[in-house]
Amino acid sequence: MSNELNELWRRRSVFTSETPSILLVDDEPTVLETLGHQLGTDYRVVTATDGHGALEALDRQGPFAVVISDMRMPDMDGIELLGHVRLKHPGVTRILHTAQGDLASAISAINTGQVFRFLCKPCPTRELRDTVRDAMEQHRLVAAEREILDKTLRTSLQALFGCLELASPQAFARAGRIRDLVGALCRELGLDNVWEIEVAAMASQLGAVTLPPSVLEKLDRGLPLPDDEQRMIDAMPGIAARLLGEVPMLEDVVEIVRGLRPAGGQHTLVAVDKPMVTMAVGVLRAAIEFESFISRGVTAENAIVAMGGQGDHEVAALAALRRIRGITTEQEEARAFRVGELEVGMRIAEDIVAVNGLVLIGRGITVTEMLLDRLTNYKHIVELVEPVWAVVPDPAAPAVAA
Amino acid sequence: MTARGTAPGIRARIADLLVDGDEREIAFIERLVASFLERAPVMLADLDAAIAAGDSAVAAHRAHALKGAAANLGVSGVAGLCAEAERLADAGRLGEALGHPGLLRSALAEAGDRFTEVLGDLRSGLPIVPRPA
Repeated sequence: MSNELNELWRRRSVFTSETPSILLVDDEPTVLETLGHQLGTDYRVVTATDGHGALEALDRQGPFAVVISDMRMPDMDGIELLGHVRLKHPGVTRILHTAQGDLASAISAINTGQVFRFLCKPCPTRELRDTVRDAMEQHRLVAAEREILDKTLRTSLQALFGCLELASPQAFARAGRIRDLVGALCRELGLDNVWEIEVAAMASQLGAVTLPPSVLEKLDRGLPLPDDEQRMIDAMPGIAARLLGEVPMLEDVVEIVRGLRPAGGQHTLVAVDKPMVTMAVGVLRAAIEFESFISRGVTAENAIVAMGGQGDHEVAALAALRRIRGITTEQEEARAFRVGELEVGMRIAEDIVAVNGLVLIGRGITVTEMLLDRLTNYKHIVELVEPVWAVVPDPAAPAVAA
Repeated sequence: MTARGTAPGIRARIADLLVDGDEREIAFIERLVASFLERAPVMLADLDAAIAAGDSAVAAHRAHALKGAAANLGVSGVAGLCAEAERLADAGRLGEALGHPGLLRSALAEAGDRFTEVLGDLRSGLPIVPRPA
């Protein structure tokens, strides 16, 4: 069975990026041609002659709003195909086009493929067009709902971490440093779901708002802690998990954070059954541990050697850590600046503190317009210790996600 | 019995596919019909061979393929016979479909004649199906 794909550029020669796309799947080429003709010129139509070709088209020639699939095809039938589409491309509206109008097919199509409509062959043009129009509307509604949910989630997280920044600049800065390191590790390891792991890195420090200032200071400096204070640190992932536990779409983030909890009072990993979560927990634990060593003034090389000696860190994470620190340490050189000389894009190398010792901006934070405004406001209220130390970004260095 | 009386499925389907009725659309339908008439005898020969060999799985697949191609152009006689052959093959009763290839050959020949008439009417500008009163 051929996997060849044909794109039908009919009548209208130019489609815009706004033109909705439809994927037609049938092992009978004249059926594909007929459906393409019936659909008219309002859609970009791509065809595939079997299930594997269809999945390839979805990955490479999308995005598609609607997929219309034949039922009985060799290797992979329409129900199996639409089941894959539902899992891999849940926003694509699914229609089954079949000559098999039996009850068993209908039940499977609904239960496995969760199809939007069931069309019988040969489908009259009016019915086909009306169904596709409804499917497009369904796709639009699902996409709009998803976009609203994405935006709500993104802005809610920004607000949550903004609260952490206001409540504890030190903890926020530490979270930012861990997040940046985790992001770099994920890219080095070629991991997917980077945003979830970065959010988990930030979230892992949310519990710092419950720490007494003296404990937070020790945490930030990577200093050893007595048992009662260590228990406060150990409780941090649980606090974050409780805060985020009911937020939709953050299930994996919460699992990653939960995975950081020491089990039964021992520093062993809580068992998780998702490979992505297990890997993410390993990367995040390595980043947190590394940050603690560096905060204590240990060199990157010695920190990695010490972590290797602990025997409970992922070997791949340590190897990635060695590679990325080998690059970044050569590029970074902190310089002294007056507060008024700081510019957007610089990275704060040492905590910016008031003369009374209060930490106002934690080290590791990237300078933004908003941060410059805040520093200007602080200068009106308290005296700042100057000079401040910052790293000027190397214009030739690859950008690191904020 | 007139030709129009024996081929309502073909006429209804072609009428349904004529959206604009322009030259380009007529040429598309002629190409579609020509493709079917060229491929259908080959598909039928493959089905015939599978039935003769007693291979139910292959026979079911080939009957299904010819059924889809025929139904797509409203050739309901061929599609119906293929559906029956497919059902028998799926049920492991392929022996009961031994006569189907012969019936299908006749049905295909008749469909060819009906297509010739319909396409002729189309080219002459005659109505394909009686319009509702």
